Amino acid sequence: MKFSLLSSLGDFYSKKMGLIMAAAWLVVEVVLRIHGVVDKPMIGATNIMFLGGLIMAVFSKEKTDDERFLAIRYFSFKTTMLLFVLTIVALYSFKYNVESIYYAIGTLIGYLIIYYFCVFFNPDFIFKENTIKSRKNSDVVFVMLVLVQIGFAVFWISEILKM
Amino acid sequence: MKNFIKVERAKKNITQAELADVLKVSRQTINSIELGKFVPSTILSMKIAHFFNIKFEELFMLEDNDWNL
Repeated sequence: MKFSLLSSLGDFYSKKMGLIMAAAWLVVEVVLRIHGVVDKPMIGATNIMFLGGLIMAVFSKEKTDDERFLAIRYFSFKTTMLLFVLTIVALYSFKYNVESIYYAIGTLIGYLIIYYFCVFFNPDFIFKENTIKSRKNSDVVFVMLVLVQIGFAVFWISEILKM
Repeated sequence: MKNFIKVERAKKNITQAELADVLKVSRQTINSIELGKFVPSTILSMKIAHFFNIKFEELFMLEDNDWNL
């Protein structure tokens, strides 16, 4: 695997696709919960699809992506990381959720490894934020996700009708 | 860093959006640079100077507090 792929972001099309997917799955989950569906694996699967949409939306570029967006992206990721760690610490402090502290520790150790790797080896790809522009592949992924989405929706409608 | 992009833009009678199109950046980026909120990279700064056909140091100027960074 090329390391430069790690710094690659999807194009604006992926962002739109991701936001549409995330919104659609959020609606599905809300509808399911309104209908009293509490089947954990199925709700979990819906959440994973929602998460997939969010990942596509987050790790993609703007329509006219420039160096200002790079600075904004850095600030947003930094702030999100800080909020994530603070939330984990709060969970640990108030609910004594021991496992949660390992997520924060693991994330920060991961950050330090990547940071010092880049400091010592200074790979050039970190200064060039690439864009994945294979529209063809994006289309295939999109069609597959839509098919999975339709299949999942049909399954859920049939389950709701059975109740 | 101080800049005279707004002045040069007025001389050429072009909008922020038109300048942004030429430089392939967003209009908000040009606005942020003009307001001094965002300091552009060397490449973008030189592109802007080249577009206005003036010297880099005629368009951008370091301020006193920039030396203390």
